[in-house]
Amino acid sequence: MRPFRWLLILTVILTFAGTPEPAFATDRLTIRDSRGEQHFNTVPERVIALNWAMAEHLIDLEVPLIGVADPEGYNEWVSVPALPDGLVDLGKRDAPNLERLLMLKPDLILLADDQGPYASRFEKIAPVLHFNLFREDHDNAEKARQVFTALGRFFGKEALAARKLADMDRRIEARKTELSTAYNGVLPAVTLVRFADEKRVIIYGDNSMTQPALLGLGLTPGYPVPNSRWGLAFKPVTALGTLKDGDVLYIEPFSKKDLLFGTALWQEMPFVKAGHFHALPALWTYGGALSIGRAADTIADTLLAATRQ
Amino acid sequence: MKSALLAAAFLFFSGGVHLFFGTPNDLSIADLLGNAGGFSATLFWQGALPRAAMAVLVGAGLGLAGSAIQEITRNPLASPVTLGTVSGAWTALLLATIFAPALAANHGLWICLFGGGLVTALILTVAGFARMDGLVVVILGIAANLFLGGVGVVLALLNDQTVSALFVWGAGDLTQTGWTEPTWLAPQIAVAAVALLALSRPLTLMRLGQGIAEGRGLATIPLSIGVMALAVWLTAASVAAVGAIGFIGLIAPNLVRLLGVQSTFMRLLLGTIAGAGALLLTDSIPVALADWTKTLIPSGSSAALIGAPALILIAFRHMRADRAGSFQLPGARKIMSPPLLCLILAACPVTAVLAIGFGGSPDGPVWISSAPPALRDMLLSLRWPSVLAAAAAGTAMATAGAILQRLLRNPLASPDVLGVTSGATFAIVVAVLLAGLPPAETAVPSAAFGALAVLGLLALLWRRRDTPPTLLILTGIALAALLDALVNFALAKGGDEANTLLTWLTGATFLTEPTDAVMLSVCSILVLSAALFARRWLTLLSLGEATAAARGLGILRARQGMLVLVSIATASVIAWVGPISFAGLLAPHAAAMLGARTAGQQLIVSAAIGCCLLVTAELIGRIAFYPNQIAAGAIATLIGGAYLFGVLLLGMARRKTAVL
Repeated sequence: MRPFRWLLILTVILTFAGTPEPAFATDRLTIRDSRGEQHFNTVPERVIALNWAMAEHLIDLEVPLIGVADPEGYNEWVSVPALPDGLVDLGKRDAPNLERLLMLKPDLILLADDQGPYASRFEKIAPVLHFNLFREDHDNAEKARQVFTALGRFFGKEALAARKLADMDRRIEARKTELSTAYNGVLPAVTLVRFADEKRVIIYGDNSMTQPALLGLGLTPGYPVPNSRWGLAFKPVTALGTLKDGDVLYIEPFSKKDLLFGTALWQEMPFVKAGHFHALPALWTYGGALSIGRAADTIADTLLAATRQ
Repeated sequence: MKSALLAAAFLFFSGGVHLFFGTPNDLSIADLLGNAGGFSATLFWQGALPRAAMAVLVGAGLGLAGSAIQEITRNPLASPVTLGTVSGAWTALLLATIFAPALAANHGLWICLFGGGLVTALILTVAGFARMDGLVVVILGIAANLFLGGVGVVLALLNDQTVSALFVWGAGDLTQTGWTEPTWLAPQIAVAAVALLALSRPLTLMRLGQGIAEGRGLATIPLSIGVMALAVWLTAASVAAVGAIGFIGLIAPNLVRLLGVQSTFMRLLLGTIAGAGALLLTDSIPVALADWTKTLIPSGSSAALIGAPALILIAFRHMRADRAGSFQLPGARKIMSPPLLCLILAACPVTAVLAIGFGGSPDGPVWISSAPPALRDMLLSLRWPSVLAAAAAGTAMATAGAILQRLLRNPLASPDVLGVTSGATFAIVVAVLLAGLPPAETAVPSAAFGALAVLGLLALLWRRRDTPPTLLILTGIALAALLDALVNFALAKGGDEANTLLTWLTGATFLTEPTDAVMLSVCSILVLSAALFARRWLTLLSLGEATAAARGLGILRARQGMLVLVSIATASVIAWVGPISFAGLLAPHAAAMLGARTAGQQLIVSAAIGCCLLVTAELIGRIAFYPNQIAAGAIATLIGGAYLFGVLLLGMARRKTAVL
C-alpha cells in the first residue's frame, strides 16, 4: 500500500500545485487576467484602454495612455480623473476600431467585461489584458481594488497603488468622522439615484461601486436593491415613495428637472418635504477602484453642505 | 346591447385590476375617502390614478384608431402598428430629440404627427387603395417598421448613453407623476373620437363597397383620407405622450369582431372601450410586478407579449386564402442579357477588392498603399475577415430570400419577414439576457435552435397542402413583434449588456474572427449550391402547388427541404454575424427586376447582389463615421429600405402598379 499512498500524496500535491489562484503572480512582469497568467518581457509603454474603468485605473496610476475608446463620452460621463490631452479616439467601446488601433502600434490593449470575446482579435495587434470587473458573483469593489493593485505591480508602481488605496481608505475614514460629528453620531440612511428621465430612475444598491462609499462613510443604504451585476435597480420614480426616512441624493446632470420636481407627487415625497433631497455633482458609477473614494467625497460634501444649511 | 354591457364590464374589471395592483398596500378605502392616508394617498391620487387614466386614454385612442383604420381598409390586420404609423411617429421623435432637442421637447405632437402621417400615407399609397384589405399593405408596413427600426438602432449606436433613456420610453411606459399628461391627452382623444364617431354613418355606406357608396353621393376618397388623418392624429398623440405602445390598436378591433356587432357606430365605440380595457389589463402586469423586479417592464412590451399571439390567432381565424393576394413589384426587365449578368458577377470581386483596399482615416478614406509598408499585411489581415463575413452573410441571406420568394410566391417574403431571423435572434437574446449564458459560446447553438424552432412551426402549419403561404408570413410578423418587445425590454434594462446586444443585433462584422468568417462562407456556398442543385423544385413550386404536384413533385418533401436550407442559411448568418435585414428581401427582387427569370439565374444573380450589398455596407460602415464604426447590417438595412421604397414609388410614378 505504501507506494500507493505516496502516489496519492504526490497526486494531491500536483493537483493543488496546478490550480493556485493568487490575484497576481510574484514575478513583476506576470499578471493574471480573466484568461490566466500573462507574461511580458518589458513594461508596456504604449498602452490603450478600451474600457473607461480601465482608463481610469491607468490615469490614477499615472501610467501614460496613448488612446481610449470614445474620449468624448468619457469626458461627458466619467470626467474625473480627467483624460490627458492628445489621446487618440478609438471609436465606440462596443465597436473599437481595429485599424486605428494598429496604426498606433500599441504594446498593450486593456479590455474589460463584455469585450472579452474580442480578445483574440486584438491579440493579433498587441498583447491584451482583459478583466471581468463587473460580475454578479463577485464583489465589484473588491475586484476593482485587486485589479488596481495588480496593474500597479505590473507597471512597477506597486507602492503608488498601495499608497493611493490607503490614502483613499484613510480619507473615507476621516470623512466618516466629519459626518458623524455633523450629524451628532446619528447618521441617516442614504439612497443614491440617477434619473433616466423625468419618470424613471436608477437606484444603486448592493454590489454597486457607490455602495462601499456609503458603507465606508458609516451611512446605511436606504432603498434595498439586491445584489446584481451592475448593482442597480431600474424603477418608476413612484417607487421612491416607499422610502420612509433618510436622504436621497441624485447624480447630476439631470436635464428634465423641471418636469419632475414641479409635480405635486414629487413635492409630497417624504424626503423632499423634509428637505432631505440633494444633488450630487457628476459621478461615474461604473468606475475603477479610486472612484469609490471620489464617490465618498462628493457624498460627504453634499451631506455636510446640507447639514450646515 | 349585450355586447356593450360586456365591453363595459371588461373595462371596469380591467380598471379594478389595475388600481388594485397600483394602490399602495398600506392604504385603505377609508383613508382615501376620509382624505387621510398621508403620502400613500398622494401616491394613489398623483401616481396610480393618473396612470390608470393614462392607460384608459391611450388605450381608447389606439383602440379607436385601429377600429377606424379597419373600417376603412376592411382589413383585420390593419392597425397603427402594422401600417407603420407608430414607428414613423417614434422615429421622427427620436431624430428630433437628437438633432433638435428643444423642438422635440416643445412640439412632440407635431413631430409625431408628421412622421406617423408620412409613413402611413406612403404605405397606403404604395399598396394602392384597392388592395388595402389584403396582406400586401401589412407586409409593406412591416418592411417600413424594419427599416425605421434600423434607423433607430444606428442613432442609438452613435449616441449610446444619451439615447438609452429614450429607448425605455420608446418601449412605451405609462408611469405618471401627476395629471399633466392625462389632461393634455384627454381633449385630443375626445375631439378625434367625436369626429370619428360622427363619421360612422358614411363609414357604414363605405362597407357596401366603394361603387355603391359613390353612387349614393359619398365622396369616398376624402372620407378615407379624413378618417385616416384622425387615426394618425390619435396615434401620434399617444406616441408623443407615452412612447411606442401600438399593439392595442390591433387587438381592440379584433376583440370587438368576436362580438359580432352590426352597427358601425357601435363597432367604433366598443373598439374604443375594448382598447382602454386591454391596455389597463396589460399594464397591470408591470404595475403588479413593480415592487418585485429589479427592472422596469415597459407597458408596450407587455402589450406586445400578449398581442402577438393574439395576432396569430386572429390571422388564422379570419384570413382567407383568396384575400391574401400576391404582390408584384413593378418595373421588371423581360430577360437578362449576358453582358449584364457578367457585369453583376464581376461586381462581387470588384467591391470586395475595394472594401479590402480602402480604409478610414481622419482625413477620409485612404487606399491601402498609403499605409506604412510594415503595417500593410497586418491591415489586410484585419480587414479580410470582415469583408469575407459580410460577403458570405449577404450571399446566404439573398439565397434564403430567393428560395422563400419562390416558395411562397410572394416577392415580399424573406427570412426576416417570415420570422426565421426573429426566431434565431429571439433564442440568442433569451439565452444571453434571461438565462445569462455567455454570448460567445452559446450564439451558434441558440441561433440554430431558434431558426429550427420557427422552421418546425412553419412545417407544422404547412402540413396541409392548401395552407395559404400568407399565413406563414403572418406568423413571422407576430414573432418579429414578440422579439421587438423583448429587445426593447432588454434595452430598457440598461447596463453595458444592452449595448453589446445592440451592436450584435445590427449585424456587426468588424470583429468577426477569421475562422468564423471562413465557416460562414462555407455554409453560404453550401446552401447556394444545394439550392442551385434543387432549382427544378423551386421552379415547380413557384408555379403553384397544383401544377407542381401534377408534374410529380412531392410538395411536402420539397417544401421541407427548402425550409431546411433557409434555416441553415439564416441561422449561420445570425450566429456568426447577427441578424441582417433586407438583404434577403431586396436581392432576389432586384435580380428578378434585372431579368433573372429562371430559378437558377435568380439564385445566382441575387446571391451576387446580396454579396455586393453587404460588402458595400461594410465599407461604408467602416469609413463613413471614422473612427466610429457602424455595423454592416444596419447600413444594409438603410440602403435596402431606401431601395424598396424608391422602387415602389418609382413604379407608382410610372403607373405600372396595375398588377396590384
